[in-house]
Amino acid sequence: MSSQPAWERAVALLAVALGALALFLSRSLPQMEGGYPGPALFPSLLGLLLLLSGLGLLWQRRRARGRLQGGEGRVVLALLGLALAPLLLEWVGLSLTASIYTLVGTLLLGVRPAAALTTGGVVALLVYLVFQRFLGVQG
Amino acid sequence: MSFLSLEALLALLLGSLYGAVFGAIPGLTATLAISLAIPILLFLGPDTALAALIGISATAIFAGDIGSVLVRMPGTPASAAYTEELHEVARQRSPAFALGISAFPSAIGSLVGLGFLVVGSLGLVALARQFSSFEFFWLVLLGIVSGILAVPSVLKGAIAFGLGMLLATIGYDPALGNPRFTFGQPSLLGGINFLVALIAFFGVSEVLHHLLHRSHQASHGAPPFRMGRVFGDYFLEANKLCWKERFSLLRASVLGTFVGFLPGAGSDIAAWISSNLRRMRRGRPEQVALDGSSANNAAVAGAWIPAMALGLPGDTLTAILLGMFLALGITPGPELFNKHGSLVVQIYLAFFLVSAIIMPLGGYLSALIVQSLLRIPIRVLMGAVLGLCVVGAYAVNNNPFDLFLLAILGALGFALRQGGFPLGLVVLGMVLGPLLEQHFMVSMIKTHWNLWSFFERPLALVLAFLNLAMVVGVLGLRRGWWAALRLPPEERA
Repeated sequence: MSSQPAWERAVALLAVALGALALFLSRSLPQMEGGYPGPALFPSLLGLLLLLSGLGLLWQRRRARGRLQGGEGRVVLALLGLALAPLLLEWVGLSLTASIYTLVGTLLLGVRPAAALTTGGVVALLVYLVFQRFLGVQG
Repeated sequence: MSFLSLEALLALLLGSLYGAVFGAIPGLTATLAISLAIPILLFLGPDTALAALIGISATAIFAGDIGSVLVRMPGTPASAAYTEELHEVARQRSPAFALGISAFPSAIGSLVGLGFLVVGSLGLVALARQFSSFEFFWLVLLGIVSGILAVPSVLKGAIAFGLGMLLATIGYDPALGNPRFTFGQPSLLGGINFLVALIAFFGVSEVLHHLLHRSHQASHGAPPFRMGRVFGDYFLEANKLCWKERFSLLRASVLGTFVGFLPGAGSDIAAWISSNLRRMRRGRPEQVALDGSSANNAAVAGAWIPAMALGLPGDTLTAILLGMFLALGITPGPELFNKHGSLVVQIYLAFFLVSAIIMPLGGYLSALIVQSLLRIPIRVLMGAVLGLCVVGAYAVNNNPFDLFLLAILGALGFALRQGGFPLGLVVLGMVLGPLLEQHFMVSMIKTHWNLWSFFERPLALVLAFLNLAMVVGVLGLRRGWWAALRLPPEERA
């Protein structure tokens, strides 16, 4: 059974939620002189578009069946790891951060530790030479 | 500095080689190649960065054929249309001959497309000089409507476009300068950085996709192969065939340019149409491959026509390139031709150099590099891509906050991709959304909210009619296809 219908419904729900949020938050944006709609107009229209399209898609897919595939844990782990990137960057610097993410990424993808370590080392060297020495990126 | 400087020529050459390598390896795409290169290109200045970008975008589509020849796996969707035929030619004649009949038609298609790019963009710019905010509003709307209607599911297209445009509303609004949806976060006042979003949508989501479907395939399974009588097969025999099929090549190139010019279409659609037309005429495998490869490369130049002349991206690749133009401080459209005339000439020249010299001569060199790289498992490459995404997103602004955005937008891109939503439309929405709002608000403010003013100028009226015709025509066409296919209602979305 394909996982696509489950993801379709998840995105449709997200569209409905974001559309409703955009409509709600737009109400607090200022109007123009003379009572004409100002900065709120466009986000409100987009909110409406997302809300209606999301509901439409949910209705269309109401009978479609699908289930998740089991690899979602790895994805969540990687995303949580990415959210820690600003802290890691502060603690260990740019090239080591890149190396750590490469190492964790390759390990999560099922690469053997020795090969993952080598890849992480190559990326660290590349980032140091290209980004930090050649381009002068701080970090 | 100009495109004829040593730095720019080197950037063009290295960009072409990099694009060719990325385009050739299945799983690595042209959009991913540009997303990873952007953080480096930003530091190099407009001339050098644009030279490299043209090199990457022009060669990545051609290089998709290298994967087809070597391992029967198309490097890009644009090559999938004739992979079977091209690989069969490689097996029956020689890989060098197959690469030759991919490289030379690609170069011819690209040169024909360039001819149309020069004439078409200059013509469109002359027309666009008559445009005011009303005409631009209709034009941008045409780009949005055609983009939504071009995907199989209108609702999915609308959601993808809506999300992209909503993301673009974060920060100061383009008409009046009011901050929106920043939640007190100063880093969001300038909006979500387009380049960070690009790295998240095409880099991080790609890695997450591989994490979900963790493949146990050790490598791409590239068989050891000898290139054999390279000069004879790659240069002489392939060119003989191209000369014999010259009229067909020209036809396919013109068709490809036209398809590329249409908003929402692109190289892959051009390749499918062109190669299918040849199959219908019972063409031999090499003829099918010739038509497909010339059409998809001509489409690359075709997509640049509205992008350069009007600032309207025709596909994901040109949307990214336009975002890069803006990041480099260059506004595409008539202003580009008025203020940066020499840059326009240099862009044409760079296209010519890539098409006439680098594509035919670099094809063989790229194939040798790719053959070595294909031995590296895709899992290792994807791990490295994750590390480079983190560095790239940070390097754009030296702002750690962008890494939070990378994670959030990466998750969004991943969910959209798993649900079969067109990610390219999110990017198009991010580019076109602010333009639509700006032209609408400017028009409204100068006419004191008189909505009829959108229909008062003759050119605006023509463009409004084109929008209506596009909606009615495409929806009618789709209804006809559905009826012909007799699909159940659930499948027609």
